[in-house]
This record gives sequence, C-alpha cells and structure tokens, in this order.
Amino acid sequence: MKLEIRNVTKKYGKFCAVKNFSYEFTEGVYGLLGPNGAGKTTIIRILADVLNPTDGSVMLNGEDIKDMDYRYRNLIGYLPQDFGVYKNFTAHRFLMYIAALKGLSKTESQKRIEELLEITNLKEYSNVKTGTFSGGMKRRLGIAQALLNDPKILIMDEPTAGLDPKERVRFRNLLSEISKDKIVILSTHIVSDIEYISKEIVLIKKGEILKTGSSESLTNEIKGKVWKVLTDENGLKTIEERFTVGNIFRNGNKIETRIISENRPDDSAEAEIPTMEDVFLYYFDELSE
Amino acid sequence: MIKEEKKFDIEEMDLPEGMTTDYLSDLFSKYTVNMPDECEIERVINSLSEYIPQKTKWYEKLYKNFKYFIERWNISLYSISHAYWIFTLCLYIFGFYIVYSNGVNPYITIMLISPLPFVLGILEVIKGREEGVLELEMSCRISNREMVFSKLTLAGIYNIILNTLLSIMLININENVDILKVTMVCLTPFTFVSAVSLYICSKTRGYYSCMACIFIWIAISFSISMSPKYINRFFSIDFFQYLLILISGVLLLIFNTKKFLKTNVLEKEVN
Repeated sequence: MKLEIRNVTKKYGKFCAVKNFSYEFTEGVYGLLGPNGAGKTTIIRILADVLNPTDGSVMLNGEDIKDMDYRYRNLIGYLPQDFGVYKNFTAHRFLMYIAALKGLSKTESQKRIEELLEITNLKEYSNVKTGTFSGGMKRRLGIAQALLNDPKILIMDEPTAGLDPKERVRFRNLLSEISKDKIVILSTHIVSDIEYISKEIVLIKKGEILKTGSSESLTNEIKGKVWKVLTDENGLKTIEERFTVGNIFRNGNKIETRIISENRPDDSAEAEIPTMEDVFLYYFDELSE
Repeated sequence: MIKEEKKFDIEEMDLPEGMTTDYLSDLFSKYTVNMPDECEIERVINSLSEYIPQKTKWYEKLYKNFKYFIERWNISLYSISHAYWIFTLCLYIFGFYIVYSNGVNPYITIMLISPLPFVLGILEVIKGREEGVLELEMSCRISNREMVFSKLTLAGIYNIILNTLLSIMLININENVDILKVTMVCLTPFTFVSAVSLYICSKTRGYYSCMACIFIWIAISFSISMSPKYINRFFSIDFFQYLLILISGVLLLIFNTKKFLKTNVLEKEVN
C-alpha cells in the first residue's frame, strides 16, 4: 500500500499554508512534527479528504483519492484536532452513529465498540453522556471512533492532547501493535508521541518539509551540537542570550543547562547525546512539550 | 465528416521486385478467417448474453431507492436528538389540546405550528458543525451530503405526518373545520417558512439565525391572529390561486434545499 502526496499546495486567500508538499507513506507509523502553524493540520485534513488542496493531489496505490471518493474514505480512520462530540449522546450511542456512517452493520458495530471501549478504558462510561466527559476521555473516545472500521490508513491530528502520561504510553503501545499492516500518520508537536514508535519523522516548517528520517538518523545528524554547561544565575542570562537553551535544571547555586550550539559554547561544556527534543529545538528553535 | 474510401487493387500496386501477386495471396491466405456457421454464432451469443447488464425494472429501481433512503434515515435517527422528537410531538399535542379544551381558532393554531418541526429539524442538521463533529462526519464512508439530505427529508416527512394527523384530529373534533382551509393554512407556511429558513441558514450557518426564523414566524403568526381580516382574505382566494401559491412554495423549498446542500456540504472546507 502506498499513499502519496504529490505537489500539494493549499492557499487560504493570499496565505500559503502548504507549499508544493510531496511525500510517500507505506505501512508503518509516521510522525509529522512541527511547531504550531507549520501546516501539519492542513496536510492531515487533505489526507483525510475533508479539505481540497488548491493544487496537487493525493494518490493511493496510484489512484487519485478524489476519484476513489467513498472507497478511500472507507479505508481511513480519522481523529481531527478539534474533535467534537454530540453532548447529549452517550459514548456508546456516539460510536454506534459513527460506525453507521462508516457503513458497519449493527452486529459488527456492537462487537467492535465493546472491544474499543475496553481498549480505551471507557467501558464503564459506555452509557454516560459525552457532554460530561473530560478532555482526556473525549480524546480516548476519538481514538476509539477512528479505529472502528479497522482502518488501513489511520490519520490522527494531535492524538494525545489532553491524555495523561499513563494514557499516552498506552496509546503509543496500541499504535505500535496495530501498525503492522497499516499506514499510521500522526501529527503532533509533542516529540515523545512519535520518538520511539515512528518509522519516519517528517519535520515541517512553514508548510514545507524541512527534514525527514528516523528518530535515530535525525538525532545522529545533530551529534556534537548538544552541550551541557554548568553555570550560575549571572551566567545563565548570557547563555540564554547567546544560545538556544533547552532544559534548565537548578541544583542549589549551580544551574545545569542544555544548549544547542554548532560549536563548543564553553571550555567546561560537555557534549551530550542528542534526543528528539534537541532535534526539535535545533530545527525550530523553540521548546517542544 | 465522411471519410473518402481508399480502394487498393493489388494488380495496380507497385510491388517490389520478386514479390508477385501470387506470393502475396499465399501470404495473406494464412490470415483468412472463415465465416462461422449459424450454430457457432448462436452458441457465442448465448454464452455472452449472461454478461450483458440487465435493464433494471422500474419497481426494482424504486425498491433500491427506498432501501437506500431507509438505511440513511436509520442512521439519521441516531444523530437526531430524542428531545427533538419529544418536543415537536408535545407541540402538536398542546396545539390539539388548546383547540379542543380552550376553543382556540384551529386554523391559527395549525398555521403557527405547521412549519416548526422542519425548522427545528434544520437545527438538528447544522448541529454537527456547531458541535465540531462535521469534520469527522465528512471523513466517513457515507458522505455528509447524503446525511444532510437524509436528515432534511426525514424532518420534512415527520412534519407532514404531524400536520396530517393534527388536521384529521381537528376535522374530527370540530365539524366546522374545512379540510381545504386546513390544508391551505398548514401547507403554505410549511413550504414558505421552511424555504426561507433554509435560505437564511445556508447564508449564515448558525443556530441563532435558525432560532431567529422561528421567533419571527411566531411573531408574524400572532400578529396575523390579531387581525382576522388577513385570514379571511387568505381564505377567500380560489382553489387555483391557492394551487399556484402552493406550487411556488414547493419550488422555493426545493430550490433552497439544493442551495443549503451546496453551501453546507460540498465545499469541503471545514473552517
């Protein structure tokens, strides 16, 4: 299975959200990583067939998804960034409704819903109205609905927003389990969501691909550019002015800083093993969550 | 354009040296296809006939369409809130009650409530956008356009059933109630108010504009009920004039439904 974005451009008036974007997905987990406003959601919406590109096309196994129409939508599971629910629906009724829209039979839906409520830890809230759900519970319901039709292509926009750390780990493990024969595309600005499970990470900035590669290759590329410097309160100001600073750890009077710099910032600086968070800082010059 | 037919005569052709007409005849004879006998032709026709697509009979087509709508309506029933069905049903029961026990004018009553289930139904249709579910619905196998159309038709049919039931009940409890007049005061607002509401909602796409339509209609109904001369003037028009009004209403409703479907669904822009 090959899902291909071919020279996609999306304009909103004069503003160009995505510029001539081309990429190819095969089975496995992909992470679209970029700061807010990079164009991740626009790409995700185009892939989910809810937004038409201004130019270019999306092809699945060589066939334009516009021509495939419902045949394409039949293969996808989608979790939008702003996932809304009908507040007066119970979780079960909402899932039954989405299952019906996905063309599942009643018996098939019942069975699948039971399974997914169990997986997403929502079984005891099956008959509770979604209007009373917390952000995390809504997100889990969103994950459940995206998996209803056992999709071949799973597209998720900021899937872990609102989930607690334990739920995030459960979600990542779930994705790893199901991604064997699926294309899983995750858009996020949270590095830890994709660091360990992505086959490939696509770094996006201002609607364009900045870099692609596995987390290992991306971190390898910035080897020798991440440093640990011990300083004090006065030195910290200078460091912050001169370098991109990651974590700052205070230990009594001493302050341990993690710096991104092409050259050794200080004689006392020690080289550190880069992480994906450093990659994010290096390319986007801002802290990931 | 008719193409000019070119004829070749092998005898007149300028053949290369050594290539005689006999040689060419022998060469081409290998490719001669003998005319099959009648039995063979018949056999081929029979074996291929099963692959020819059968012309669908009209009742099969009708059944297919009916099945399609039943399936879509079934899904629509999931998304339309229970409160909608209960509230609109209570509205009609209340309407019947005030005519039956308080002697309120039956024409005014049915005129006031006749378009309300459909207009409230529009609220149910646009709630997907309002509650942020539209984007998800658009990514599903069954297109959002199909669902919007299905919900609108369901609300329309439900509205007509309620209007018919109330009309029958009003005619039964009051022998002075005229069947034609009831139909007039029931269908005219239903078509026109529904059409105007659809138009406004396709322009503004909001809960509030839909609610505004309902309140404006209630206000208009009350002001009409205060001045019986308008009602009497409406009742004094002849059958053909009324038919013309009704046809215009239906056409306007169809036109605005199409407009509503286009502006609310087809653009594939969720923002």
